[in-house]
Amino acid sequence: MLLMMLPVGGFTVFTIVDRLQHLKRRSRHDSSVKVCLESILAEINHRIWLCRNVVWWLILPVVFVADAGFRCYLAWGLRTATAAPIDAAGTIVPALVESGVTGVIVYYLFRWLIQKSFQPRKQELETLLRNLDG
Amino acid sequence: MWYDGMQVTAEESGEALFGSWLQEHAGLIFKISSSFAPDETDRQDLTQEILFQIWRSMPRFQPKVKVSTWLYRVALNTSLAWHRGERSRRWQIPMPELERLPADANDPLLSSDRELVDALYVAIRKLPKLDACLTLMSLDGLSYHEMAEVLGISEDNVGRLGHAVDDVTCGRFHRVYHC
Repeated sequence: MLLMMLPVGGFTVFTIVDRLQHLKRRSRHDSSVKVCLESILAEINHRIWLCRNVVWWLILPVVFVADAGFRCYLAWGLRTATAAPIDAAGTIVPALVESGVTGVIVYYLFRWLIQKSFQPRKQELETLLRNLDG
Repeated sequence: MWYDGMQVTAEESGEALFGSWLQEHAGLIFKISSSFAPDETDRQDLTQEILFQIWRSMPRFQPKVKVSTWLYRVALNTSLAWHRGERSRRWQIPMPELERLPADANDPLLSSDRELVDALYVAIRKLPKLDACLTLMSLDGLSYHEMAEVLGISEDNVGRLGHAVDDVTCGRFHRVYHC
């Protein structure tokens, strides 16, 4: 439980600090179109960066710790119930490997979601800026 | 602060100035929101967002820029940043209560044949966003210098973009006007 609280707490503090910083650099709509588009693009890039951090430092640790903990608990419980000798390599390592695979799936799923959410808007803004620059 | 010969507070002065700008340039805001938002609900939402951004940006207004050019900047930036269904952030700053934005009755673009004007907005909405911005400013008679100020690019670049847009849009608007 403590292992899961650590990334959640850490990331909450990080997000609050980031949002406070963000309030200072919000796009100004009375600047020129080019400057405004550049700041919106920078904001989208920042959101992508933020989402990637959420995945790396919050979702993946929580998923990995929860999944690995649950699998180890089950495997350990099964061994104890069958009174078989406890074999760390045969019990914990496969559970960790399986959790790692789950983590990779979750990572790619979120990467796809981030791409799907932000990429079209990012491309649209980049095209607009390219056209403005000629 | 003084407004119209009377001493008023900064807030009252801001509201009065905001109101007078709206009276004078309502057509501009109406045209831009109609050119970017496809239906009535979206148009109202975008108009509200533009008004909110104008209100929020007013303290930074510099009198060296023409009001219409400045309003064009705010309205175009808001329209380009606006997303359908995006939740508004208007609650963050209190705004004066607004009546429904009046359409500019003196504007020939609005007071002429409604169907033709609607067809023109449909044609503008089909254009790429940058071309739509240039077309709107061109229809409003902004000079290359003013367009360059709004867009933040050189006048030469505006000229080059303008010619490219003219080539593409002439055919479309010709069809709209003569169909």
